[in-house]
Amino acid sequence: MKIKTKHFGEIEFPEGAIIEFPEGIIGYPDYKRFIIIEDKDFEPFKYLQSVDNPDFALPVIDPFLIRKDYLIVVLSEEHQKIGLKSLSKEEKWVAFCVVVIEKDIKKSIVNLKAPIIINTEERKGIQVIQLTDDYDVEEPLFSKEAIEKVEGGRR
Amino acid sequence: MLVLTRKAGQSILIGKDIKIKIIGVSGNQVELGIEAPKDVLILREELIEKIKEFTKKSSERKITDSQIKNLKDVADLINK
Repeated sequence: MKIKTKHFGEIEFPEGAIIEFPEGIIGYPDYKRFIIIEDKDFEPFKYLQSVDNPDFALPVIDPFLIRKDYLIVVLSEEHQKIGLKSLSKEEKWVAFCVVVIEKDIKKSIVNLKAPIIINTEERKGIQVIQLTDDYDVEEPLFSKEAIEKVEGGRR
Repeated sequence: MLVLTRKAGQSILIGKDIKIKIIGVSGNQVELGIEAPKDVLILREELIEKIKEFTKKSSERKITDSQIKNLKDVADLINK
């Protein structure tokens, strides 16, 4: 399959690469098919590229990279919609959080309130809302302290 | 839309499992008490709008070539 994307030009990928989002993502219920674009150039970020709207791509990050203690708690019904019995280590799934890239990239912000969960075996995805107050929609990618430490160490 | 008038202390029922009670009213604020099964998602509507706005903003930006050069900083922060 070939699509002409806004960010990456024309890309070609096998149908099998497509991840189905039965409910779309929050606010975009019609975007039901995505592919993951990976490139070591922009690691640790990846992109979720919409197949339904080639102009629509989201930079995302694995939340467990930036918050070692990140916890996803979903309503029982929600992960079942993508064929996962649970969110235990035995099940095959990954999580991504949507990032808004800022000019100083390490000061970007990330939506930890609504992670995207993907069943990697069945290639199905869903965006879920975390009910806890521990996470917000606009969270800093890294704490100020961590940034200062890294910048300080270089001086 | 179905519109009902209720007084403080009164409730409405939605189906068999969901009960919404008017706890109190003060000025333009209404305090609600909600009883529902655990698997029913109850949200303030603004949250959905906020997530949608965030996602829209995300889709409008891209990691530029000059930012790619700074990704080492991000990797350093992750490996801390």
